[in-house]
Amino acid sequence: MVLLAIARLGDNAYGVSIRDEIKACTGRSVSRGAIYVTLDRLENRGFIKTWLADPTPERGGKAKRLCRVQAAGKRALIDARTVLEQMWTGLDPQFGKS
Amino acid sequence: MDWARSAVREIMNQEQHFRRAEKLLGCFLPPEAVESLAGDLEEDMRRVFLPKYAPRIAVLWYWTHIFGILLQIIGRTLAACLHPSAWRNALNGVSADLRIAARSLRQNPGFTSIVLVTLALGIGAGASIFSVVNAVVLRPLPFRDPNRLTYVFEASTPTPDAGNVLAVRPANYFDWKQQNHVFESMTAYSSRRVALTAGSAAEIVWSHQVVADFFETLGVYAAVGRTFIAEEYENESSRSAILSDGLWRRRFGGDPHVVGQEIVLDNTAYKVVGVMPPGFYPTAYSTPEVWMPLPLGGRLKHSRVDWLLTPIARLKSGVSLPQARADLDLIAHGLAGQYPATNRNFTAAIMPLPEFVLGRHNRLFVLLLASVGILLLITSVNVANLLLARSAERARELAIRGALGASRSRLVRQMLTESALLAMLSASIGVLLAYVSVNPIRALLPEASRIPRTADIQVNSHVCLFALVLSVAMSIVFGVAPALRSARIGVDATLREAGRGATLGMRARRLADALVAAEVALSLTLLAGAGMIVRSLVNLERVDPGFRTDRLLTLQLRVPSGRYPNERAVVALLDTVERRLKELPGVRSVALTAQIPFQQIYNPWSFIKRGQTKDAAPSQSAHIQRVSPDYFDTLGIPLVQGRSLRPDDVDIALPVAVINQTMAQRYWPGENPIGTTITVDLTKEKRAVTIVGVAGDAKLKGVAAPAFPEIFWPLAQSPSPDCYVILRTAMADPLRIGPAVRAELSLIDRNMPVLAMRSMDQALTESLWQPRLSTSLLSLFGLLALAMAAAGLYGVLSRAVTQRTQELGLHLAMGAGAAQILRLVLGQGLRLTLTGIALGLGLCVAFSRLLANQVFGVTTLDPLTMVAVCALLTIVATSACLLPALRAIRIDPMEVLRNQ
Repeated sequence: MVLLAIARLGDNAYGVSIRDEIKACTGRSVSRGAIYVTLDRLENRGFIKTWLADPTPERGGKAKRLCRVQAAGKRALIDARTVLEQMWTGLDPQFGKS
Repeated sequence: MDWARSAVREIMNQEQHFRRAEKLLGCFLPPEAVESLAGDLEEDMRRVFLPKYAPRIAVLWYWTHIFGILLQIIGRTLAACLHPSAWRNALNGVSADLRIAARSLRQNPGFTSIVLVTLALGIGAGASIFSVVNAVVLRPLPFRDPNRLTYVFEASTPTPDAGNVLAVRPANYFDWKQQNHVFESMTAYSSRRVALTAGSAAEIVWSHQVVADFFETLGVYAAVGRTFIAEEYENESSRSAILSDGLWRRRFGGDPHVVGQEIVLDNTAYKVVGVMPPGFYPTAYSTPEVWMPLPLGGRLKHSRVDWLLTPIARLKSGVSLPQARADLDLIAHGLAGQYPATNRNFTAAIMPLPEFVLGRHNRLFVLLLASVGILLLITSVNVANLLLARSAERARELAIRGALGASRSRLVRQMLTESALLAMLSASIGVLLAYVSVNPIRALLPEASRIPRTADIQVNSHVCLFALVLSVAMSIVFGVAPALRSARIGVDATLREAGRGATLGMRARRLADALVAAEVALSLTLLAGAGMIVRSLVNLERVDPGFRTDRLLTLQLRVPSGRYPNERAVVALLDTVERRLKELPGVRSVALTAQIPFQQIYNPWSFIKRGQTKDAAPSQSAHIQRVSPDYFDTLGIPLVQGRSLRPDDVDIALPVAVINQTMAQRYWPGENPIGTTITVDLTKEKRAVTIVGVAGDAKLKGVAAPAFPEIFWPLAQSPSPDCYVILRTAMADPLRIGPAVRAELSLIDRNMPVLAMRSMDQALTESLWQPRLSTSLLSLFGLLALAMAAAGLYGVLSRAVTQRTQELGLHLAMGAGAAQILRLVLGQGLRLTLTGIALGLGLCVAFSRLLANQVFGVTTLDPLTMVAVCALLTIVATSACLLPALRAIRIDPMEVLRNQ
């Protein structure tokens, strides 16, 4: 979800915006701690790249940690979607869809 | 305007919260993560909360999320640590750190050697003292649940001092055993020395004759063979014996077939039935090597006049010591009412066995532990200062490593690894030093000290573990401050200062100064304690013992009981011994006595004068010395009134005695005691004696003991199978006549063992074992502390001169003289020294409490000693400051100006 949110946000993906995007798309609130832990893991695996951007006054002069999806991250998202679609094949009647 | 001021105030408060939160996060996260995390929270707070809620609510929300994030970080870290790959990474990291640390120490041999030597001395001292405390006090006693075991004595009060207890009479023992409600079992023993002959050699050993349930009460059983069975306790002709592990190995070579073999004790044959396990067992006064059954039948069972037994009892579960005391006190009161002639004024005194056996020297051990603790603190402080200086020298190296990507925690870990490596290496050397010191320490604890288990003092696995733990603790104490400082080093400022050499920041300089002042304070404390103890020892050695100790040879005789069955035979033997030894060339006079000077246990006996009743004179008591007629001549004790004892006094109808001056002055003030008859209550009998002489006071119990009333009466009237012979010789070294004495005694009776042959001067030296031990160790620690404090001062001043080179150079360039520069530098050193001395005086007050009861003839805060120690410290400190001061006056001002 975090990786998808970063992909959706493009160049404006950072802790606050990622959380807001997930809330807007799914209606779920995710804890900040979970997001930061996930960002570390995604970066360690090479799925995203992070860097510190310029500070802004509304952040008390502190820099943002911006994120961008890397090629490995894109591949991981595509693979995950493919697997999901394959697993869903033939299940529509069970869930009341023809 | 109020709203504006209020708004500004709120904003300022929020800024404080943000700064605090960032500091807290900074303890766990790298700076970039702190900035982004804190920034995100602040953005959310300003955007979402502040518009809707009061600032206080927003701040509460902010802190809730900060702590939530911290908990998640901690949880994640713990989970990562438990993962196997985390262990692999950690090990790789540790080995890399160790390699770097080892290389760094190798490249600085001077620094490394100084730190190793300093630490090794401290850890060695700590391990040595611990080896003593571990062997004597910490090791559990070899009994089942020893904390439930108690000694039970007779005494005049239920809670007497350890020195005022009496053995127990058999009838009282049986009454207490039968009537008590607090003990699950009770037993007793009676100790005496016996002459053991196994094979050809004879020796004197301590034996315990034990009553039924002895081994069961203690909860220890034989390692080889068995303990005694019921029939052996009941049968008076039983001749079974159990050996100690030490005796078994020493005399029987650890022969597994020792059970059934014969040994001879006091010329009576016994059969060995068992061997006890090693370490069984120390008591307050002796370590037994043989056990025999004590059948308490017939007259003895009902005796209330034979002070024979030392009972040991095991408390019932749930019964406390006060409850047990109350119960036995009640029984004792009942017995006093039933048997007033023998039991009036006596009650039962219960003492926990571990405390009685091991706790009598607690004050001495606490003093030694406190002293070595202070030395260890000084060592840590000294090394911390050295490491602090080194971190300044390495600032450039650490700054470059930080610039190349080493995190703060990595640098801290690296510095701590170096400290730990130094500590481990020093611990190894320290353990070696402790190993080497074991024998000298044992030599300072002679048999006269009666400290149990001194033979077990050794450097074992417990001592090595202690040294390891100590080294880890010390590496944390002295390594933390320099490590944290190294992590705070800024790259830019450090690299810019590359040309100026090693410098410490203001905070670090103040820390270094504070450490040196602390060293001086602690050194003063140790030196003051050592000074008091040294003066105390000097005072003790100057005490006139009241008799001449030079040229006196002493030895102990054990009369073989089987060959001399009654008192007359014993007296005849002792007369022969005295006569034949007197005829030896080089012997001027010979005396016999039941107790040797400087090793006496005082038992006061009450007496009344003719015409007095016991109720009118309840507090008259004196110690009894049984001596031969030549005792006063041989020892050189002057007779101040009347006459000495004579050989024909034994034949006189009314026995006679000589008293000492203290007794005469206390009980006959301003009167003449000669011709007075007194009746001494020996419980078994009442003996009336006439005083025929008054002798000068002699310090027969010990030079530190106060004078005590003493009665001297003829040994021949109540001879002892154990007695001591004292010979006044013509030789400066009386031991030279030893072989001739042994040969003559062997001719008299070759089965009569002779032991403990030594000079009276040796006996006097051994009696001062405690002040000698304290003096040796405290003086050594004090000198080490002084050396470390001087080295610390030298280091701080030396660095200060380096840092102030420019300033001092400018002073010189502007015309300041050498004296002025010297004053500047020495002034700094003296200020530190005097600060340390002022702090140390406060510490001395606390330390002086440990010296109470350890000093003689001097107060624990003796002004003369304190002044001398302060002067010594100041002189040494000034000398340590001289070298840096002389270096300062040699600064070339032109060179300094050129470098500006």
